[in-house]
Amino acid sequence: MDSQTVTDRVHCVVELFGVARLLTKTKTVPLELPEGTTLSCLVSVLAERWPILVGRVIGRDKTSLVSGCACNVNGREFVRDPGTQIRTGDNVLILPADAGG
Amino acid sequence: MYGFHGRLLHVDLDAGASAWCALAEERLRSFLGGTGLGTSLLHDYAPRGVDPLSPANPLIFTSAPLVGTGLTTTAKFGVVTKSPLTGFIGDSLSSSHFALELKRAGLDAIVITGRAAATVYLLIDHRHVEIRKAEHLRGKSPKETEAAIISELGSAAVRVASIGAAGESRVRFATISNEGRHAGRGGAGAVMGSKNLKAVAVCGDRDTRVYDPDGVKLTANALRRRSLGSLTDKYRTIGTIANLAVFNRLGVLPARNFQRSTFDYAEALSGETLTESSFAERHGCASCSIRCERLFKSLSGEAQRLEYETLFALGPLCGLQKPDAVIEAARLCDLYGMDTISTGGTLAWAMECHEKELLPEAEQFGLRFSRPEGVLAVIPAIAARSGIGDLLADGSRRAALEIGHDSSDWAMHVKGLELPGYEPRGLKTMALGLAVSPRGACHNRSGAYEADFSGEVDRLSTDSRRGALVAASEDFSAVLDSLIVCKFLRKCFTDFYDEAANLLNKVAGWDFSAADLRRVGERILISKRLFNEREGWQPADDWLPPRLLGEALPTGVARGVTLTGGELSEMIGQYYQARGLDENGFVPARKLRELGLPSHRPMGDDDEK
Repeated sequence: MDSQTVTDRVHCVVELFGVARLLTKTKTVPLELPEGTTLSCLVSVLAERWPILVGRVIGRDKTSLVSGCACNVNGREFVRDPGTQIRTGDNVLILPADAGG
Repeated sequence: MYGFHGRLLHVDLDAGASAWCALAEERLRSFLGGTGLGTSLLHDYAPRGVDPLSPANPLIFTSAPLVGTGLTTTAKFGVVTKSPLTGFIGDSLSSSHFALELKRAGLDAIVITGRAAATVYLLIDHRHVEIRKAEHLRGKSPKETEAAIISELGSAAVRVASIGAAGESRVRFATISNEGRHAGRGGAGAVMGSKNLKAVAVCGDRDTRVYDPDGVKLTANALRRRSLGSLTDKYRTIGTIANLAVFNRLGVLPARNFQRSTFDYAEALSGETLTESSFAERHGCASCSIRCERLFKSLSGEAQRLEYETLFALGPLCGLQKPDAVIEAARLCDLYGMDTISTGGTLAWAMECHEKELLPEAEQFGLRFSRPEGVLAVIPAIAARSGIGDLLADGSRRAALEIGHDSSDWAMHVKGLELPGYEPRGLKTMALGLAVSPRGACHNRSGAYEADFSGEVDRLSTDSRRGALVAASEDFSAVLDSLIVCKFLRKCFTDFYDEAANLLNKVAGWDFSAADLRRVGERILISKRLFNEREGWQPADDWLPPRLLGEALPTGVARGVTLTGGELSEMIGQYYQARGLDENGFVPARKLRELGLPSHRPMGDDDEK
């Protein structure tokens, strides 16, 4: 692997909460994705890795989250646009959309 | 009349008498049921300036139009009174079979005034009303009281709402409890205790007549289907405790009396961990398809219900790290009938006082952050008002005034009601919602946090939209709480006001538009503010505790973020403007005219029958 290849990849961490965590028995997963990766690409990767998430956390289209789930980047910004670019160093949180308690 | 029975029962405990009164349809159209109807009745039955713990303060139970119609999540009832904790309106909801039986008793509300000479309970058995002796029930928990009354009446059809020892002792945050559920916030249990009323037992056989039974059934089926989709998956799979890990990650989990905004031991207390390690049973209210209640194994062997607010208040807020300790503290609060949020908030205040050497009496209980033995020892003392418990039974605001020094600076309340588990500095819309809520720091009378968690606004900064967002959220909640529909179903409507108005029309035979229903929500909210004004509300009451405005967020991803008094003041101004209030937050005469409300005078034209 040369240095050019390294810079062409996006290294991020996905953090799973709620139903997603219970289904996968996983809290965090580091991902290496192609440069220019969007939120919908990331969701597709998760759907491929954990088909059990499809229908409960990820939509049947395997590119978006179901309406009961939300996405937050780095604990700061809630994102809804599937075209949102994921950058190296990002922590992508998949969590319940409803904060009622 | 469809959807309602058109009557209330007024019980006068001074005279030991009761009377059935007609409820005018105009009042029901204006306020619906639940907290709306209760607010309207409170204006009429509470004398101006009434002491909340005096006989004259009315304790009002309300039903609602959707109760008993078979619609999922609607088995709920309201309890409205002047709160002994805040001195303003206190409105709470509880749910399940008591709600269904209350409506089957053939009434839309019970108004209880006066004080019995000795402890009694109220029995409403169909149209028969009886005030029965209850000295033998004194000291019993709500659960024991329910069982004892059902046993002595020999009827499994009877449903009971009661108080525990805390209500009897007039702890200002005592609950009224039924079937393990609680009308929790604001201390309605203390009002009930002040009337020497241990319980209300009801049964009846009057089914709710609806205008369009087939139409209601169709909508009920659709909502039931939607209630089982992804929008409620969190509640069905983990329950509200799923919030804890998320809030911790977002830096909005209040810990150690809001001295921190994350908790180092959150993982052990998270909903995900508890579900995998300690889950015992899943329950649901009557008529509910979501079934959000989660019970967990406790040290005593009993399965104990745990909600996010209880988990936060008795866990991170007090620094307790171990699930067993939190579950046991929750069990004690239920045993004595105490609001877990105010219990945790008041204990956390006392712990900080002790840390600052202002409360030496706390030492004998070991009341310190992170020490479960202190929490578990002081909860019974509060319920009995013994020792330091007598001070804490009045809530953090009054206790701080009693102790003095600067301890009001870390008494984390609004209008006397302790803050729920949403860190306002990291949730700016919620900060405004908490500051202006008529019942005090409240996460249920508006869902202002939804804007913060949606990405619709930047949760860490303020802008000019927050006032309108909070006002809209309050109106929405007022309608939900008056129909009554559980908030966990709220997102299952496609266009809430349109769909809910159609549903209401099918139930009540009315011709409400979506706009009419919105107007009802606004009318209810303004009526609450109007009641508070009557009872002495001042602009300074719409404010947040000094800590939230003077200290930056201490930990977590939003560390360093602040909320200044200037920012809050600006948002409050926007809110008053969005509400059509005057610049100081008072309700102007034109708003009263617009909503068809009289000014501080009795509403409606009900008659004694």
